[in-house]
Formats: sequence, structure tokens, C-alpha cells
Amino acid sequence: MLKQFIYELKSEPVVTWVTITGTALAIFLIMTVVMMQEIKTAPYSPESHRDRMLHWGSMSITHADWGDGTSNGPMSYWAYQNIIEPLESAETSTAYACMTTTHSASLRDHTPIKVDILPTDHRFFDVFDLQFTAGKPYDQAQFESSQALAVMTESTARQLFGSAGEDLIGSEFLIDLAPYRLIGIVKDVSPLADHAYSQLWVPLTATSLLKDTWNDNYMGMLSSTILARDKSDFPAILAELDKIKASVNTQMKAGIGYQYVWRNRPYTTEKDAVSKWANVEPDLKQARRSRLMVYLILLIVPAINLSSMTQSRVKRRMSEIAVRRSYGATRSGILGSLIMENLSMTLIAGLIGFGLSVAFALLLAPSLFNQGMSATSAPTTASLPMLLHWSTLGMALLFCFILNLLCTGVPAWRASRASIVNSL
Amino acid sequence: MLNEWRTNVWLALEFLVVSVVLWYICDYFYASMRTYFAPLGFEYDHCYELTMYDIPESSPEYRPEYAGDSAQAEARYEILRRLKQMPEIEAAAYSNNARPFNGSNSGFTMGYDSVSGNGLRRFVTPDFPIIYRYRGANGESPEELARQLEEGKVLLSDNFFSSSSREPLPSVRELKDAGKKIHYVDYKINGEHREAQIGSALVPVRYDEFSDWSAFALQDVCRDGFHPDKAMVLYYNELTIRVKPEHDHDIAAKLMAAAPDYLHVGNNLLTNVSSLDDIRRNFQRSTTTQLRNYSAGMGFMMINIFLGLLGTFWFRTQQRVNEIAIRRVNGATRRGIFGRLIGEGVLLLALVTPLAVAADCMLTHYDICAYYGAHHSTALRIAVCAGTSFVLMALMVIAGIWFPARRAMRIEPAQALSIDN
Repeated sequence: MLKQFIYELKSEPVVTWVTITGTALAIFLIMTVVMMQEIKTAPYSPESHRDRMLHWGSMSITHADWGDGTSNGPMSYWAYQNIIEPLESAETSTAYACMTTTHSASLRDHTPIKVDILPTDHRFFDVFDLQFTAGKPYDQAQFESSQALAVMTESTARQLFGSAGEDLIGSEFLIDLAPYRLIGIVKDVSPLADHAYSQLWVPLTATSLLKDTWNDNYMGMLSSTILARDKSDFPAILAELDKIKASVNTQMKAGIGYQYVWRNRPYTTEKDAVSKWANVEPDLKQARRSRLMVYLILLIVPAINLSSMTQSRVKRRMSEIAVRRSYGATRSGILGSLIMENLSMTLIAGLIGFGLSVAFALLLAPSLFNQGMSATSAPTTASLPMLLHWSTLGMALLFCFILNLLCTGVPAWRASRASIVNSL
Repeated sequence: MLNEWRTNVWLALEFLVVSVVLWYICDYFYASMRTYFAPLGFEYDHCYELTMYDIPESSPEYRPEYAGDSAQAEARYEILRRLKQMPEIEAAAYSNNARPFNGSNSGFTMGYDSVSGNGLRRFVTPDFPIIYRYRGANGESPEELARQLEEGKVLLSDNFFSSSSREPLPSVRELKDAGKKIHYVDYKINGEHREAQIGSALVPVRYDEFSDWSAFALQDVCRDGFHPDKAMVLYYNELTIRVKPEHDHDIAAKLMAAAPDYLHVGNNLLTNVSSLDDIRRNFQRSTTTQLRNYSAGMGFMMINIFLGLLGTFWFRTQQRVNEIAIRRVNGATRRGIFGRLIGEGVLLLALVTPLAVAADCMLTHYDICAYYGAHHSTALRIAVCAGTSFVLMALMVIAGIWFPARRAMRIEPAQALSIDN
């Protein structure tokens, strides 16, 4: 195959380079689009279990007096405790603030720095695998006793204390002039891990967030994530939730007239990634259709392009094909060999395109990976483990094969069926 | 062209697909840019949001005398007074789900006769229209609007009823001129909807630069005649300021320096200052990213056309050397050869364009345009977008055929024919 590729390069350099450029460009763009999607759904630390997660970002509520009106936003701790926490079919679940907020952190009598803080419960660190380099997270007893503890990232520790070593564990510092004690240091987290991201994590009970409620304590400022033991447990979890939801709504309606509007929550990671507003259920099918349309256009347009060039190249080799046929080569053999020969060029060009897309993604992560309405001002960072997965490589190979088939299939089929006499 | 009909069919198919895709992208740009450049209704330059947090009880700085609602509210009003006394600051206001580029919203329903209308509910303190330069529909100044808020009046956007109705409805100005009583739909006294004290109708204010959503109501519930209560300011979750232009160079640093002392009142602590420009950029990031992605898609399509034609016509000129040589021998000029090849590509594009326009019209009819909530599709919009798509395609066709055509026009007939022999 490599010999065939080098022969083509030498005999028709312009057309070969145009073909390689066209193929590399197509694979580059498709893989960039694939990575932009995968960064939202593929597993990487600290969201390594994304395939087992069900996210409950917001809640919706109505009242008997509101007609069709609803109130939509984050949930209260009451909602989490009565709907999600009792789940038995899930491995665990966690409640955390619906978004990070920017606060002042400082040592006494020092200039404060700005940090993004995410208040969470103690189970947060069981659901999201933040990598501790020193200390440990707050546990249930510390959470329930509202202790002012904090876990921070290495870079935040360096900014605040000048270092990020084990010796800092137990150190005191101030958040909004209130004293906290550092109990854990973790590796920095990219804002692209949008559920787990923060620079500092504190117990919810050490803040006033649990009291920040509305609609009679049925709505609040929290989101939740459920972690299943296995993806196959999702139907069982949803079935158990349906029973809990029915019971909670019956109880609420009999009380002061409120009822939750479920909008089919919770959502898988893929569905949660397309969710924008709390008052609308995301349309996953529409999002998938749009993505498929983009992939098709990005494949079909270059395939048509490359097909006409392949047609021209094959036409030049008609006498060679005729000689091979006259020596006993079968039509299917000719078809197969033409497709495989072109595959070498497609794979080489695909490799170039894929490499370019990874380099592009690493260099331009801040502008490439959209975070929508982000509450954080921290720059977006991406790393190779976040971008490269078996699924990404698989997709790259698949698109190369499909592109090759689309642009070589018809010309090769026609060439294999040409009459030997006419070709000679 | 008929001799190479098979290759030309492939090219025509490519032109058709790319034309429609380019039209879709042009349509998105047309609609979003048309919306973007429409009047916004407010100004956000030199505006900043201040983030204040409550110092918790665990802090040694906590002041228990400010624990009650009245004391907390008084502390908040004191912060507002101190901000307004700063020479750099022109206006300052608290608000609830009201500042621009805001993902949090509250709704409001007002009615007259049996008609009701919905809009965004913006609870604000009086300086708010001064900060964002809101204007009355009859030309009332922001200061006049601020005075009306102090009097407890509700200010509705002029399109409050008409924007959410499919039937044509009068503007708020027309309703007021006709003496119509506008009432709250949310509040009832003795089973009847309570009449609202309506002030000036306002020029509609768009939700953001890429949205048409613009019906809203402004009210200061702390001064509302229904249940005036200064402590209601505790529900106002935003604090924004307008800085005088000549002082807007390091205001964030100045405010943060004043945070521990001058602006530290009660248990309120200033922790962050963000410009509305930064907030706007974050809020609209998904739309601006979409525009960028579509631009990249457009560029990709155009490069594909260029490469496809370059490759195809390179082969074509190689295979047609004899024909070109004979044409030269029979009197064709170099320019004629050049123009002929370019003309083949443009002719093919022109033949395909009516089909592409028909596909564009079909997509428009079935509402498969990329942009939501923008101006409705019109013949002008389709024509402009299809025309732009055609021009872009033609440029790429000409660019792609240029080099092979130049190569072809340099063929020496005698050499070409003797090589073949």
C-alpha cells in the first residue's frame, strides 16, 4: 500500500496533494466537531464515571393557583433529601450548589485573591473522582456538624499559601472574612468538567446556601447527580424515582397546593449537555439529528469532490486494469484492490487530519470548547487524556473508512465492470 | 461539456449540496446580524456589577446587631448611598433578575378589559433606568423614569401587550391615551384584580444582542403602594453601577480597595466587581461560538469547491491537450482558451443554481432555518442569502479553475500535437 501511495505521489503530484489536502481537511474538521461533542460526554477525571451518571440540574414547580405557570430553577435541600437521597437502586448521589460563585480568599492581613467556590455535601467526592495530592475530603460527621473546612486545588494553594504540600493540611485561611481550615488539596480541574469544576470546595452546611430557598422551601440553589452502579441500572433507578415522585407530589398537593413538574428529569450526561433552560426539557433527538446532519455534510461534500478526482485517476489506469482482467483478475478483486489502494492515501491523510485536530484542540481549547453561560472566569483548559479516548480514535478510523468508500466506491465499481477490449 | 458529462454530474451535485449549505449559513448570519444591529434599547458601557456576600456568623467580623431584616435592609441602603457619594459613580441601583445579559428571569402578567399580556418582571430601585439609559416611548429621560419609580409607579414597555399576541393589540401609550385601566393579574383584592399605577410607557429593551424578546415591566416593590416595605430590598439580588466615563479606568481596583472599610456596612462584604462587557461576552458566548463555527463550516465548504475544481480541471486540461492545441491552430487566442475553461465552471454553477434556490425555498417553507426568534423569512432574505451563496461559489469556481486554465492557455500547439504523435 505504501509503495502504491509513493507511486501516485510521484506520477501525479498536484492531484495527489489536492486529494490528501481535501481528505486531511475533511477528517480535521469532522474530528474537531467530534471532540467538541466528546468533551461534554466522554469520561475524564474528575468526571470519570460520566456513563454512570444521571444529572438533576434544575427543578420545576407549579401551584394550583398558577394555571399553566411554572417556576423553574435549582432545587432545595428538602427536594434532594425527599426525592433523590432515598434512592436504593443507585450506588450513591450528591447535592451541590447549582453553580460556582466567585469569593475572596485570603490569609489574615493579606491581600485577598478571587476564587471560584462550590459548596457540596460529603458524598460529592464519592461521585466525582477529584485526585487528592494531600489530605482528604470532609466526611459525613464533619458535614453534619457544619464545620468550616475546605478542599482546594494545587494552583489555588500556591496562590494563597505559596506552596501546595502536605504540610499545609490543617492551615487556616479566610473566605469572605470567615475562617476555614484546609483539609485537602487536589489536582487542578478543568472548567470543562462542568459539574465538578471549582477551585475550592466547602461543605454546604458551612454556608447559608441551604437556607436560600423559595416557593416555600421547595426550590433552592442546589443541583444533584446520581451515580449508578452500572449503566444497566438506569431503568431501575428511573422506575424507583417515578414511585417517589408520585408520592412526593401527592403529599405536596395535599399540603399547600404545590406540585413539581418533572420534565423527565434526571438526564443522562449526553442529554444534560444539551440542556440550556430550566423550563424546557432538552430535545436530545433533535440535537443528535443536527449532529448527524453536520457529519453527513462534512463527509458527503469532500466525498463528492474526491470521487471525481478518483474517477479521473482510475480512468488513467484503465489499460492496466484491462491487462489484469485479461490475466484472470476477477471484478470483485479489481474492486477490492482499488478500494484498498485508495485506503492507504485516505489513512495517511486521515492521520494528518486527526493529528492537526488534536493539536488545534490543545492550542485553542479556550476558544474552541464552548461553556455557554459560564459563571467562572477561569480559562478553559484541555489535556490529551480529555481529548483522546478509544471512542475518538475509533470515530477517526470509521470516518476514514466511510470517506474512502464514498469517494472510491463508485469509480472502482465502474472500472471493474469496464470491457477489457474497450479498455485496451 | 457534454463529453465529460459524468464528471460534470459529480461537480453539479457538489455545487448543489454546497450551495444549499452555504445558503443555510448565510441565512443564519443574515438573521443574527440583522437582530444584532437592531436597536438594543439600553446602554451598558461603563457599567459594572458588584457582588456582595453576607459575612457568616462564624466570622470574627460578623456584627450581630445587623442580624434582623430592618437592620440588614438599612445597611444595604447605606451601601447604595455611599456608592452614589463616590465622585466616580454616576448612579447605583439594586435589582432582581433585571440587569442585562441575565440568565435568571421572573415573569409578570398585566391585563386590561379581558386582555392579558406577559413580560419580564424587573424589580429595581429608582436609579436603574439611569444606569442603563432606559427611555420613555414619548421621549422621557432616564431621570424622569427614576422619579416615577420613586413614586411607586409601574413602568411597562410600550409593546407589553402587543409583543406576546398574534392579534394586533394597542401599545401601552395608546391604552393610556384611551383611558384604559391596566390591572395586575397576579394580585387580587376582594376577588378583583388590583389596578396598577402605570407610569410612562418605555422604549422596548431587548433581552440580549441576539434576541428579539423585549416586553418587560419595571417596578420598585419597596415603594409600591400595595405593600411598601423597605426590607423588600433584601430580595434584590443584583447591585450595578454606572461609572462616569472620565473615571472609568481602574474602578474595579478602587472599589475592591474600598471593600474592607468604606463599603463594609453591616455584614455585607464586596467580593467581586465585573464589567457588563465581560458579563455580556460570557452570556452570549454560545451564540458567538455558533457564528464562529458556521464561519469555519463556510470556509471549509469553499475550500472544498476550490480543491475539487483544481483537481478536476487539472486532469481535464491534461486530457484535452489535443483539443486545445487544435483550437489554437484554428485561431483561438490564449485568453479565449482561458475564458472557455473558466466559463465551463461558471456555466455549470449557473445551471445548478435554480435547483439550489428551489431547495432553499423549501427549507424556508418548512422552517428549517438555522436562526430562531428572528425576523421572519421574506423574499428579500432568501434572495440576499442565495445571491451571496452564488457569489461565494463563483469566486471559488474561478479560483479553482484559474491555475489549470493558465496552464492550458500556455500550451504550444505544435509541441502538443508532436508529443502525441
